[in-house]
Amino acid sequence: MSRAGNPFDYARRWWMRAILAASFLFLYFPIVALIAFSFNNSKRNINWRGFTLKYYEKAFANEALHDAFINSMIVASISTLVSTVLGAMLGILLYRFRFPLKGAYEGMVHLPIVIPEVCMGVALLAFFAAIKMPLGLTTITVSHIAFTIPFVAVVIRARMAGFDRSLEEAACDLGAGQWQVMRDITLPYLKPGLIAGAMLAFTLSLDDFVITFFTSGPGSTTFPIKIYSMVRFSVTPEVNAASTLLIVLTLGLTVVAMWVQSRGDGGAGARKEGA
Amino acid sequence: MENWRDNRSLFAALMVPPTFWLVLFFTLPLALVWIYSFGERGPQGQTLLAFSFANYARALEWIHLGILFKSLAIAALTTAISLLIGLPVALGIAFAPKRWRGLLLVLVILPFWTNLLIRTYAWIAVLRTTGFVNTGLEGAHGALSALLAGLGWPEALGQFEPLSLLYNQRAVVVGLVYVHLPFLILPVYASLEKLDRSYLEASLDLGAGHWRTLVSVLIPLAWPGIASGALLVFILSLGTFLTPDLLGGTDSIMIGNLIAQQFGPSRDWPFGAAISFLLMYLTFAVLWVRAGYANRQQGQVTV
Amino acid sequence: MTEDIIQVTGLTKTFGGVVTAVDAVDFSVPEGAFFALLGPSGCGKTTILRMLAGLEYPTAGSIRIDGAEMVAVPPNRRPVNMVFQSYAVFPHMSVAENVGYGLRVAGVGRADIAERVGAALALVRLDGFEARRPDQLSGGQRQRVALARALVKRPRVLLLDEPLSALDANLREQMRLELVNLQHSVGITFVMVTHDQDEALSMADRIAVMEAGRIRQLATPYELYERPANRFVAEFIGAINTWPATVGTAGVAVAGLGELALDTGGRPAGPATLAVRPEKIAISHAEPTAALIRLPATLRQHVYFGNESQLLFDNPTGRTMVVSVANRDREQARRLAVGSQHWLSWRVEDSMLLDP
Repeated sequence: MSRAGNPFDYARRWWMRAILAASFLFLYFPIVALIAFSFNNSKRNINWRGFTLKYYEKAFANEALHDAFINSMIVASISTLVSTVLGAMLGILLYRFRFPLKGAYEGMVHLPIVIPEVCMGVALLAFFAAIKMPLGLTTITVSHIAFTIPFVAVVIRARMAGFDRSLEEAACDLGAGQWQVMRDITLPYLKPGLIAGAMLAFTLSLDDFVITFFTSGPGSTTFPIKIYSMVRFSVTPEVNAASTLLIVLTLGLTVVAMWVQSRGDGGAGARKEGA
Repeated sequence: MENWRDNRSLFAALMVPPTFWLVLFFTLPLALVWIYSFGERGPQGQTLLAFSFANYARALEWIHLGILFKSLAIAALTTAISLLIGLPVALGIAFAPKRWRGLLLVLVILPFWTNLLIRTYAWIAVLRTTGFVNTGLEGAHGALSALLAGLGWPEALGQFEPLSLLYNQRAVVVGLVYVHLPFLILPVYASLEKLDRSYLEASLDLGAGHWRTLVSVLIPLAWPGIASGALLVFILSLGTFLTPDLLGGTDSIMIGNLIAQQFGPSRDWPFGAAISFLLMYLTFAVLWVRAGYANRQQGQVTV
Repeated sequence: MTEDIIQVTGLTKTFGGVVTAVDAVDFSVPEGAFFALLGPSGCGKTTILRMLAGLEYPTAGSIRIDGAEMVAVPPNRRPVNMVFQSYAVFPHMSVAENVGYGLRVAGVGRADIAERVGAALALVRLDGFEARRPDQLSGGQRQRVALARALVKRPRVLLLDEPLSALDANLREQMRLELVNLQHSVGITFVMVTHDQDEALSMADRIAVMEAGRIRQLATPYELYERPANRFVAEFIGAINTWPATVGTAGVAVAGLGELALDTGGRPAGPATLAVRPEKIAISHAEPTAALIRLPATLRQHVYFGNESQLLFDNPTGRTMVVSVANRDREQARRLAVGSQHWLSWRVEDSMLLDP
């Protein structure tokens, strides 16, 4: 098609295009097929037998699925609220302060990101059993907060890394006290980071399966747990429909978050780069 | 950065709440499991505190060691395949025109925002006996048979036998590569994007070909990113639970599943705790290696 | 004359107990002055400015502003305001919100704020920019916002941290004059930090030249240039020719120049440095009169700047001499051909004697 403009225009070479196309096919085919077949008018789910919405109706009418969805939203909302606040504190703390044993402390608080989820799941299970806390929405929420805090902290810290400290100094120089500086300068700057962090926490919580699997009890089924039990049972278009709903929900939230974030930046960065 | 002593009240206000939460609901549970790992299983499956290494000794028995080695092998294979796919993709994105780059990156990241369970489940529909791959193959087989019959060899291909693609180790590797590929592409892309293009231009200018430039200049310079992405894929695959659970068969149990079993049906928490810590030690070892690369990468930036 | 508005005594700042950035510095600034702290990077000048603002805590010493001790006063309660090197214009506030911020946190009424913001913006010629966002402003306009934002607080002292360094060359020249005029019209004491000697000489009326955490000389621009107190100042400000010299009872002996009848200014006998500025040296064909210090020289290199030329001469002292001449007629630059022989001379009173 188009001739390469310089020796490194690899992306314009046919073999690179073939590799990219094949890779993206690999990444997207299963999901796209899953979504497409949620509209397929066939229980066996292989050959296309025409468009239908009946599996969505079925999914909506499925009371257990309904309850699981409500549970997921409750858990995700509460854990997002708490972990955004706590994670932001942690992010600012790590950005701003030097203190003894900081390296060890950082390692400790970032551990939930790196240790295998199954290890954290069983640890929480053992812990709740030891303190005789019955498994339910509370234990799920508490666990989700614990594993999302470090993710929020990383996002907040990354946002703070681009912060010009002289803005705070200028505010202070103009007469603002410590808390006024926080409110007028630091928090407005942090807003896109807070939104991004909250979104990340929300999707992590909404999507989490492994930790929830170990910390949920009877009657506290979340959406992924419910889908899991349906998947174990059989592959049906109804599962596809429910999965599609979850995908659309997370993608929708992500798009909204990105949009809010780009507005929060005032478009300043983009405009400058464009000029 | 400020010294914490210069602003103790703010330091404490920021430090105490998240630390309290993480210590209570993360550090303490881990410590508890660590203590359990030296305990004993009681007659009713309850956990009795003790001080013995019996659980660790059991974990190193041949039958369990086999699962450990298999997990390591699966993780290594997953990492190798991810590298094979991920490197060219990262290269392609990094060298794509600016206006495409954003879109291509979003396409790589997008699956991140799709539920892990659903992404794994999606492969069941692709791989099962009546799945898309087998249906496609059956169609091709039918067409080919018809063609050969027309040419005079009616029974040349025989009956179509669906391939058993699901519930085995291959399916697990495919699922793991699928789920973890973005974790490799993104760091490699990041290190390629930072790379000063003039190094490559100098290499061409000095007479090296593209392949030689790739091997002698590009890969060494992007190595910290490549290593860090690869090690990340490795530890994530090693600690996986869901993928072998959904896509694997009886022969593809990995450490994660073994742990889950002890805390579930087998109800042998001390043993599960011991394997859990073995897995964590392995993870830490890999992370420690990775931290070395991360430091080197930072060093490169400042140079 | 009233008391000096800023009195700094024994001001010291060490970082981490190892690096001494500012080393027992004393100085004072009279009311209404345009004071500059000048020095190479890392000399401690910015640290002093930040201690005046309260953004760094001194390790030792005292800062008095308007007679009041400031060391324990937090930055938000000091009667000084600062223009930051990066300007630090709040990106999420409009121009008017930026300028009015200091008044808002001080609890000034809305109408009052609007009026004073308007006046401050008029002062920096940004009237009509109230609703603009910082990302819609040029570097020069952002600097004016930072100026207006600080001036609207009516500080006793305005601190400027490298105020021109973020501007491009043309704008920088223009802003020098504007800042000087602004200072005259508002009558506020300005303290400026700069590493650019031209900037300091052309703007300030008092300059402290700093090196390694100490003030090496505090004087007017004229004195700094014509009567530098030491070799560091002489060499940091402008170009200069130097020779090792020996102070004796009769005069000063310099290898290749002979015994010179210089006023030693009470300098004890012993080694010293003879120095002369390049533009004080005259070039002639014939040997000049004996009243001048003179020596024959061969032109080695001619660096042509258009309006002037810098000439490097080989001469009997063994040290290459730099002479700068204005190209007063079109032919002069051609007459000064490389390899040509000349006499160099200067008046005895244009010579300087410095420490060895």
